[in-house]
Amino acid sequence: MGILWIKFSKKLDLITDKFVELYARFRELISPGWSDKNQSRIDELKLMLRAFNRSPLGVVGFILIALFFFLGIFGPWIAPEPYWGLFRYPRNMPPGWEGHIFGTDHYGRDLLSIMLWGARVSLVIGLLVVALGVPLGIILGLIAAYYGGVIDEIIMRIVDIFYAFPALMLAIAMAAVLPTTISKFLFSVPALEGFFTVLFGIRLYDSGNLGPMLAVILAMVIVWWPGYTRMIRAVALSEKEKVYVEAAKALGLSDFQIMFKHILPNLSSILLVMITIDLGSIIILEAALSFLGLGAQPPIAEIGRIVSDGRQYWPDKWWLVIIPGTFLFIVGLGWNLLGDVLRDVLDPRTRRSIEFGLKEKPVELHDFIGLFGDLAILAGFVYMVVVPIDIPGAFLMTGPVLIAFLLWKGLDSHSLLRKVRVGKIVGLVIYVLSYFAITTYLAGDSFVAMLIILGGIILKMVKDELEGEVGGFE
Amino acid sequence: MSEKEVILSIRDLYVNFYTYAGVVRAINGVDLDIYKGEVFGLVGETGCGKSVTSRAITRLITPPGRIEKGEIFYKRNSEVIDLLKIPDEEIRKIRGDEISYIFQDPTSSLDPLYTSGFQIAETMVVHDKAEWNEAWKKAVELLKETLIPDPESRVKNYPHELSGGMRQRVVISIALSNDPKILIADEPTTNVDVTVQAELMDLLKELQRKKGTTIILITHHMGLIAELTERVGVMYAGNLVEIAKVEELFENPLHPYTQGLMAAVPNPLQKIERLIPIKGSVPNLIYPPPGCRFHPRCPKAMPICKEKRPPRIEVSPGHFVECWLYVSEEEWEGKNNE
Repeated sequence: MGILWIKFSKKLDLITDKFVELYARFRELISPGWSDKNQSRIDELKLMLRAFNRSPLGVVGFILIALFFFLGIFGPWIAPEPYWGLFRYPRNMPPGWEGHIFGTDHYGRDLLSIMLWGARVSLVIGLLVVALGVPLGIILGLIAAYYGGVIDEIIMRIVDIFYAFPALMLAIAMAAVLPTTISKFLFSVPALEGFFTVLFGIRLYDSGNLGPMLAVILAMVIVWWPGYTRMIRAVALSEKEKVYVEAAKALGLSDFQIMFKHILPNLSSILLVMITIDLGSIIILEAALSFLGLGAQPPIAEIGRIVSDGRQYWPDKWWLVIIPGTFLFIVGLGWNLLGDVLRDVLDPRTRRSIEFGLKEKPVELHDFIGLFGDLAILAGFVYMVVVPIDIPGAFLMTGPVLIAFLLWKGLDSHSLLRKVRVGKIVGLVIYVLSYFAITTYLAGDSFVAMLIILGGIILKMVKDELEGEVGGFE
Repeated sequence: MSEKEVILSIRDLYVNFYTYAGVVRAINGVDLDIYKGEVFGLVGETGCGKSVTSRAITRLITPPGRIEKGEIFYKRNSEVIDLLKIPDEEIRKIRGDEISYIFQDPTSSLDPLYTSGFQIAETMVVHDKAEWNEAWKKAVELLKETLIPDPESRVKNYPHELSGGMRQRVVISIALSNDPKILIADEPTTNVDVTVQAELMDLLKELQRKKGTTIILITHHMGLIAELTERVGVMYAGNLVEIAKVEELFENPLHPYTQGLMAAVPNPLQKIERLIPIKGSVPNLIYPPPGCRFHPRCPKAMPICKEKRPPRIEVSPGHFVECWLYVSEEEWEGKNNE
C-alpha cells in the first residue's frame, strides 16, 4: 500500500502522540517534574508508537485485539439476551432469521448474545493462564539460568518431563482430574466463588461450572509454564554473561536484585512478544479443550463449545461452525499480528529499519490501483469463504488460488527471476492452469470470487509496471 | 616500603577452570602484598591471569572457574579477615563498598535500561549508605567530581546517550560512590580514545591523591604503568614472576620475561633501535610446562628450570623475582634437596 498508508499513518501519529502527552501529563500530576526528568523516555515512546503506526498489519492486529478486549469486558452487558434463556427460539436458525444477525444456536438461543458472553470467558481464561503461568515460568527459568549446575539440571529435567507429554494430552488429563477438588475448595470459600462468577460473567446459579473452568485454566498453566522456562533460561544464559551483570555483582548486588532488576527487564521485549503471540494460542487451545467437552458445560457460553455443538450439523448449517470459528480465527490472527509487529518495534535495531516515510513521494495513480488490487484480493477471499453456500467448492479452490498467489509473490521477489520479470508471468500461467484444472468444481459464487481475486492480482501487476519497480520488497 | 601497612595480602592462590578441554590452571600459586594507599600495577600479556587474580579477590570467579586454594587477607579496620573464608553475605557487603571494580568496557558494564544516575545511586542504596533522594544528589556530586560537564542533566541520561569517555566516567563514579578502600581498575582505558585515556588517568591519580584509595591497576600498557604506579607485579602464565618498584623494574628488570617485555615495548627511559619480540607463544595452561612455566621461551634456561619451579627470591629490598638465575649456589643445593 506504500505511500497511501504512510500518509494515513501520519494521521495516526497525531493520535498516538496525544496519548503519550496525556500519559506524561498524568505522570506529571502524580509526581511533579516527571516529564522534565524523563523527556528522552517520552520521545522514545512516541517514536516507538510511530514505528508501530507504519505497519498496517500491526494496526489491524491492534484494532482486532482492542475490539476483542472491548467485547470481552462489556460483552455480557451489551448482549441482547442472557445465556441461560434456553429454547426460547427454534434451534439452528440461519443468520438473519427474525432479526437475529447470527441466527440461533443448538439450544435455541440468540447466537450473537452467546458469542458476546463467550468472549468474556475466553478473555478471562486467556489472561488468567498468562497471569499464572508466565511468572512461574519466568522465575524458574531465571533461577535455572543464573545458578546453573545442579539447580539448572533439576529444573530443566522437570521441564523435559512436561515436554515429554503432548501438551493437549496433558491438558486433557489435568482438566479431567482436577474439577472435583477445585469445586470442593471453591464452595468452602464463598467469597472466592462470588469473585469468579463475577469475573467470568456467569450466574451464581451456574457456579458448579467454576470447577471445570478453573480446572481448564490450571491444566493450561501446567502445560504452558515449561515453554516460558525454556525460553527465559535460553535468553537469560546469554544475558547473564554480559559485563553489566558481572559489574552488578562486583558492586555487591544480591543475586535476587541482579536477576529481577537487571536481567529480567532486559528480557522484557522478548517476553512481551511471546506473551502476545501466546495469548492467541491459549484462547484457541482453550476452545479446543471445550470442543472436546472439557471445561464449562452448557448453558455457559463457550466459543469452543458452540463449534462443537454445531459440528453435527456441518455442512448444512455451516454458520454454527463458521461464525464462532471465524471469531477464534480473528482473535488468534489479531494476537499474532500484534506480536509480530511488536517484535520489530520493540527491538531498537529493527525499529531503525522501519521506514518513516521521510522522503515524501507524491501520491500517484498507481498507488490507488495497487490499493484497489489489495482490496480486491482480500474481498475475493472473504467472498469465497463467507458467501458461497457450496463450502466444498470453496475449499477446493482456496488451495490452488493460494498456491498461485504465493508463487506469484515468491517468484516475484526471487533474486534470479526478479530482473527478467518472468516471475509474474510464470505465476500467472500456473494460476490460469490451476484455474482451468478445477473449473469442473466451479459454481456460481465461487466463480465470482475467483474473478475478483484474479482482477486484484492483475491490478497489482499493473501497479508494479506503472511504478517501474521490479521487486516487491525493494 | 616495609614499614607501610599491608591492606591486602594474597597467599598461595590457585585458580582452576574446569573446561571441556581439560583443567586450565589459570593461577598457579600467587603471593602478593598490597600496601595501603599505593597504586599497584599488574602487567602481563593476554590470558596470563591478571584479571582472574583481581576477580578472585572478591570471589567473582564463576563456574567453571574455581578457587582451588589460598588465602586472601584483607585488613578491615583493625581486624584481619580471610576473604575466601567469610560467608557469601559478608563478601557481598564488601564488594562495591570496600573493594570496588572498574571494568574494561564501559559500554557493556552499564545496564542499558537504567539512567546513569540510577546506577550510581543504586550502589549506595544497596549498601545502605543513603536513601534514594540523597543518593541521587550524591550521584550528581560524584559526576561533578569526575569532571563530567553538566552533571545535573547527565544523571538523567541512559548509557546509550553518553559518549565512551563519559560512560567510563560514570563507571568510575559508580566504583567510587561508596569511598572504597581498594579500587581495582581492570584495563580501564583499553576501550576509550587515546585523548580520553590521559584524562581518565589524570582523574584516577587525582582521586587517589585526594582520598588515599589503594588502586590495583591492571593493564598491558607499559606507559600507564610507568606514569601511574608505584610498584609493579609482572605476571606470566598464572605466576607472578617479578615484583618491584616501578623505577627499579624499568631500570633493572631481573626476570628474563620482564627483560623480554621491556625489549618488546618502547621504553620511555631507554633509547632502543629496534623492538625485540619474545620468541614463542603463551603456553597452553591445560598442559603447562613443568618447572618454570617460562622455560620453553627463556633465552637463559638451565636444566633445573625444566624440573623444578623456581622459588621467590628477594634480590634487593622490595624487589622479588621467581627465577633460578638469582638463586645462589648454597641456596640452590638447599632447594634442590627439599
